Amino acid sequence: MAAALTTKAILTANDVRNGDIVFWTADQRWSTSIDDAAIGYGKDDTDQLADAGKQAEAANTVVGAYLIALRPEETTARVPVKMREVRRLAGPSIEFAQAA
Amino acid sequence: MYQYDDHDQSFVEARADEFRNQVERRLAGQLSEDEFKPLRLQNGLYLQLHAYMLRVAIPYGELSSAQLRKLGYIADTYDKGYGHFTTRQNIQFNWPKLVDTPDILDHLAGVQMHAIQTSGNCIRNVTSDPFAGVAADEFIDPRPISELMRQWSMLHPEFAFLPRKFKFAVTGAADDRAAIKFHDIGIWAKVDDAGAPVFDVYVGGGQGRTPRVAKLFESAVPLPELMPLLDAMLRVYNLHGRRDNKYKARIKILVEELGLENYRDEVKAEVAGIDRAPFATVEAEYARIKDAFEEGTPGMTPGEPIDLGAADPAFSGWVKTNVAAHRVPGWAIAQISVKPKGGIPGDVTGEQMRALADLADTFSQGELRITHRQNVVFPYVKATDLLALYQGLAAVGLGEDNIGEASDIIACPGLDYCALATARSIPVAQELSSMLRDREAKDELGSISLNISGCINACGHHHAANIGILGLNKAEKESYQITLGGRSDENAAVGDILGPGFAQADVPGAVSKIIDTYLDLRTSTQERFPDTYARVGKEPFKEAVYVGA
Ligand code: SF4
Repeated sequence: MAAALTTKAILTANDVRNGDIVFWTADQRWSTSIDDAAIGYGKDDTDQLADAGKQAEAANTVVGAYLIALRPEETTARVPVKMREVRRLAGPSIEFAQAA
Repeated sequence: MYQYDDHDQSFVEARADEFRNQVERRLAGQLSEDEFKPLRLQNGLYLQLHAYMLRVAIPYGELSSAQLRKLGYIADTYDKGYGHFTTRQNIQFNWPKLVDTPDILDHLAGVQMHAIQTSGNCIRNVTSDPFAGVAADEFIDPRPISELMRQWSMLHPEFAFLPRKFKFAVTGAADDRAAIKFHDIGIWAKVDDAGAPVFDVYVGGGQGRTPRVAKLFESAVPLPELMPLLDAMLRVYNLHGRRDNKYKARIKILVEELGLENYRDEVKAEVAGIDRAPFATVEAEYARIKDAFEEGTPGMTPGEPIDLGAADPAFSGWVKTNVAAHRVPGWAIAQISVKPKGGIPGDVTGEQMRALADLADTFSQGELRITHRQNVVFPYVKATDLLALYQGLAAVGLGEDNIGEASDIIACPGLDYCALATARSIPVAQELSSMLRDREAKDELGSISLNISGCINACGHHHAANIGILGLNKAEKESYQITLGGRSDENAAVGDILGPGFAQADVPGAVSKIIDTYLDLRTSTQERFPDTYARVGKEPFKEAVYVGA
């Protein structure tokens, strides 16, 4: 579990049962859509997100929970700072891997 | 090929049952991820960038058609319709659900397969020559000793938690097609004057962030001494390997830090005191396994070679690149490229797996091999069947005639799948493959190895390639470093870094200039890329790529 970030971040993990990438939402559930992801601004918010990740891991609903730091320029867009996260969100750059 | 006996079969079935129980406990919340992770890794189940990934062992790359058909079934039923052949002759499925993995392991056990020790700090799948048992240049079939080592290392209680993963490769031929000098321990099987098997043992090779070519530890080790020696080599490593630093934990670092002579002395002392009782059956067991392979080898009546004089040029071109000499006259080793123009190295669809299985039944006695170059080999093809095989392959899009050419690219999954990656490998491989296929149609490039890794761990064997490409993350942008002059054969060498890295879009142009330089400088079409490079050095290539840019 990554340390809480103080800027702008969302919480992600993988679903334990099927491995799907999931995001923590404002209404306290996991969604497979990044558009649903609750954005934390500043330390208090992101600490809360990090706690939600720890609790979900302890409850064995998700695995590998961590915060994704987002570009701070825009207040609502969910664009990761790190290339790794951009690629993870985009999925494999291979057509048939994205089908099914 | 080797067939499981009752003991082997009940072992893999029991292991699948055990994992089903572990998954049930995980899903019921009785096991935390911290508790479950070592259990899933011991069964080849990773958590990657997007999803779980299951790596299935293909011991020394050998598969039956029934096994490949089952892998195709798994790809279609539990994954997204494809699998990925790896550089260690295994197969990976990129999208299995945890809930489905117990069923997948049951299916695998049903065809004498498993995913044990495809992950973790243990002895991994033993790799070998994909031409084992049929190569014209073979001294001795490397499969019996590979299988004996598989059985010895399977759940070996002393070697389940080594300082780091441990990789063996074995060859038994004049040409090293198993890259033994890039393994923790490489074994070169030969025969002595009396015809008995003997083994040259190399130690301390590997790739990753500290690439090293293995050093000769001892030559001509007789069979009864080999297993105690390997046991002792592992014990000394287990005792002194750097558990405090995973970047220094491989045996190559230990051998370097201790010095080969000191390491050898410690191993010899260990061998001298080793309990011989567990090894009392080695020779009998080797003989049993060897007999099992021989029984599984089809009778091959020598025949006539084919005459390509009047053959269709597409077919004769395929024979020239893709067919290798067989030990029995009139028979052929057919190499099937799964690297079409613009394709993804190592990726094979479930449909292609079934087609390959059917063709192997018709033309290769139901047996095939996966190569560390991520292709497929049919070991038992009658020369007179080659045309029909070629036509069958071409009909399912597998008739590419580029084995050993530059477009026969090795690529690891990279940042399209791998949680450790620093850059993508696959799109780079696809672009290069398109560019190189066009060039191969025009120029006689000859045999060139081009390998791509998506991070310094080097699963794509870039260090060992004539042209190596390493994907890095430079200020959150993908950057590709090029190395030249590496080779993985009996003259193994680590490639030299050419200079600063390139953006993805500039990689094909840089590789094209490297190839132009080679074509200009080679003394003849017979002079291969690494030989030209060894003769002229890095400078002309550097100048072409950076100064001429
Ligand atoms: S080389 Fe790196 S990116 Fe490629 S498969 Fe290995 S760990 Fe992953």
